[in-house]
Amino acid sequence: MAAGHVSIGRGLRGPLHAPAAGAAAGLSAVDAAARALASGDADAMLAGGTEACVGAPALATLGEGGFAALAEAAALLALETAPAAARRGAPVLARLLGTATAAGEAGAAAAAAVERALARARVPREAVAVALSPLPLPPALLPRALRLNTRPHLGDAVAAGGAADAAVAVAALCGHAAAAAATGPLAAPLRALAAGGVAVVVAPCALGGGAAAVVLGAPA
Amino acid sequence: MLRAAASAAHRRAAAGAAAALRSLASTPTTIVVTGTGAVTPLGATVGATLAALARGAAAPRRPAVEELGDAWAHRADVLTSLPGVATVSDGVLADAVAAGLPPTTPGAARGAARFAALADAAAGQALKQAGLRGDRGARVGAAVGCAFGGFSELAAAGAALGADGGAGLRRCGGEGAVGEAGPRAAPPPTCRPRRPF
Repeated sequence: MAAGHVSIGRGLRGPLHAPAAGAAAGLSAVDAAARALASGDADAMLAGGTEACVGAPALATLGEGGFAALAEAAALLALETAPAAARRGAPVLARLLGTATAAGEAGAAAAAAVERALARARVPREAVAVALSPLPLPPALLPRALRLNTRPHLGDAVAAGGAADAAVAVAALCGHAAAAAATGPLAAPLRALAAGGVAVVVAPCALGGGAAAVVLGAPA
Repeated sequence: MLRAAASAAHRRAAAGAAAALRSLASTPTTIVVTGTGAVTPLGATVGATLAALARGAAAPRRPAVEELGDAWAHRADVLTSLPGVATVSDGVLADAVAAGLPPTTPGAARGAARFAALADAAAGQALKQAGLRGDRGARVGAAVGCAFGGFSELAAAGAALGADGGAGLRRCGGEGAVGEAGPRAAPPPTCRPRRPF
């Protein structure tokens, strides 16, 4: 259990969550962390996902059926309530405006999770500049947003995929030079993030169903 | 008169309390990101991963036969024809660890499964960027999602247990051991992957 390992290794004694919701698990963890912060149970949470299931049995099980290359990765966000961060004088890289999870078939769950996360964030759908996802999203989901599908680049890091996309979005939103100077096939969405647009990260679980979504904004 | 004034004061107080409650309900706690950490097939940090994405780099590749391990070499033709892998090299993981704070309990990471070691490297980076040190631990929590986790460790254990190369390892707990049926055989219906949309 990675959450337990991290908490012991890092001396963390606040709330613990270890979601296992397939490809939605990393962003489900961010959702759980946001709720722990909102309830006052913690001042800060490390939240994200990890995966290292690359190996012959995993390849044989998951490599069939049109799935992409299996990937190893881990990505975590340090989340804090704004007052706690202000008290410490911590730099704000981005704002976590809303989070949500949804059950059901992956496509429908992705749409429901996005809708709920945007409602919690009080951000209208039209205001979303970039939709990041480890999977290609259905055209009807946030049709006006620029797409940033990381799977051809990172592979399928399952639970870590959505969390890695969120970490990349945060880095781009807080002005990392590489985003503004992007030249490759992802140049348009990365530049839009560098310009400070609202980002939605969606992680549907095509294998087992369910999805999680987070809404990120540039620092105020 | 007095009673009227008291009643008015009470009404005002009640209205104030109701407004405060409404405001509490309608003002969600603002949550901010103060740190990020990552180790990915494209880089040892979030910045390195972003820089690689900005160049359009792609990590997935065909696995080499020797990466499959001896127990699986007889399936190399099939396994290397599947969609491929995107791995984190030992050098990248070492760089990822070096980019973050060292663990406060170093022994915890020793011997940890790979998925936990990757998570710990990302944790060290996120804590370092946020400036969160161990002394705040009581008010800091962890939420780390993981879908398959020790899949590879379990498989390695199975392979080590069985002289037949892990033939007893069952797929999804259903019929057909991987070593016997082969990865081309249809998986049990309960674990057949759905087509990604």
